Amino acid sequence: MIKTFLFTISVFVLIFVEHFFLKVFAFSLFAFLGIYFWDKSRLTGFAIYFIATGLILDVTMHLPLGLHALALSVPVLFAWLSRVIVPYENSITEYIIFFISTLLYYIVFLVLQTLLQDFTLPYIVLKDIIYILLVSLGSTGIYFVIGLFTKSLRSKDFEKIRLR
Amino acid sequence: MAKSKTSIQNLQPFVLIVVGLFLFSLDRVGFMNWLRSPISYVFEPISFTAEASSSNALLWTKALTNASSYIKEVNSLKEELVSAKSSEESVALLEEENASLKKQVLLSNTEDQFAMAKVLDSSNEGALRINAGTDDGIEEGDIVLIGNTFIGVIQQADKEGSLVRTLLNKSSHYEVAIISKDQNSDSLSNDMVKATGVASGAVNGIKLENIGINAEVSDGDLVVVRDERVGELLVIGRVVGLVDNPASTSKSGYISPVFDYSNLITVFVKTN
Repeated sequence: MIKTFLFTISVFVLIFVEHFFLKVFAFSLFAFLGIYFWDKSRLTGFAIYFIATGLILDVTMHLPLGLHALALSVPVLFAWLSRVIVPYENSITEYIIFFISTLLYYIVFLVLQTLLQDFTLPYIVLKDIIYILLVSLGSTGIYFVIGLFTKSLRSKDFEKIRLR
Repeated sequence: MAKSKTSIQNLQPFVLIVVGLFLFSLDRVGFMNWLRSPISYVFEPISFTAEASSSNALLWTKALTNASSYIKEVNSLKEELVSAKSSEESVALLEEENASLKKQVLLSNTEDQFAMAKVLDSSNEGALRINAGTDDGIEEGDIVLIGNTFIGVIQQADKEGSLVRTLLNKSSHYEVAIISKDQNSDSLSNDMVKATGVASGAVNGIKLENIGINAEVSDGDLVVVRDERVGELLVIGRVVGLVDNPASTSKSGYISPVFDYSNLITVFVKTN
């Protein structure tokens, strides 16, 4: 019951925040959370949540249905392939993979938006590329800060009692 | 157990791709309209509120960064207010003249029905988001205009909002007619046409092509849309940058639109 309630509230909050941040910073919280949680949650939970919110965002932005899901699948696929080819944990590679995944999402979204709607390729100008790079860097920065925060929650005493 | 969990997690990108393609396919054939309406009804007010809040946030940010220029503007406006108050009598006369002129000028056929909409957002790809949808009688393919100026066509209509494809969009192509620059744009007819052409969206503006090589077209001539999909003569803008290459079989140029589409606030959608 509580899980359903939290799920519903989080969907409404995500829709509001996504529209807000997209207009102010051109930053997609949907992409950030999708790439962050792809390997940290169960398949059913991840799929249901991000397909549902992607569907809602497609309608509120008057885009073809399925566009957000398709756009998110590319960076998730890239992150999954990277993990298979180059196993990484708690290293600089993790942040590079996250940066490239975020970059991929924005580029794929830009291309799919016009490709699926008008069946043409978009105009990608230098200003767009610079903005996408900056937003991806910002997202990676936020990911780094969250990583530091979660690590700091582990106390030194806990580390000592772990069996080696 | 851990191994099966990992293998199930590996399916995530493929689930997203399959479901995404499935939803897109159904949406293209029109099977998903039953889903779009309730989602639009519930969530579009949230998106409108978020867009309004973000517009305010952007305005405040702009105000903070341009504070000094705003102070100068306020001071100059104070001086203008003083001079405006001193000539209040002549302003009152002008207002009365303006009101009577408005009654006499008919910008559109009174039999047509229109839905008024506010422009929420504009994109570099030549699309406008407006806050009117199927609830206001808007359908895909409806013409969007201001007075007798053509803005675009409704590309996607949902319950509470719609997407407008303007002439700047790469997939916009319309047959146009070119009329003399001295012609009054309020009363247009096919007898005034100097030449015809095709207007298309391009990366650097609205391209005008396929003008006859012998046509007496010059910069500043009026361009009106004359396309069966639009159904009437509506103004687009003026010819600029006309290229007259003797080696080619046609002339080309660009169209300077009447309005800057990214600065539009209110538009009208012809619903009948």
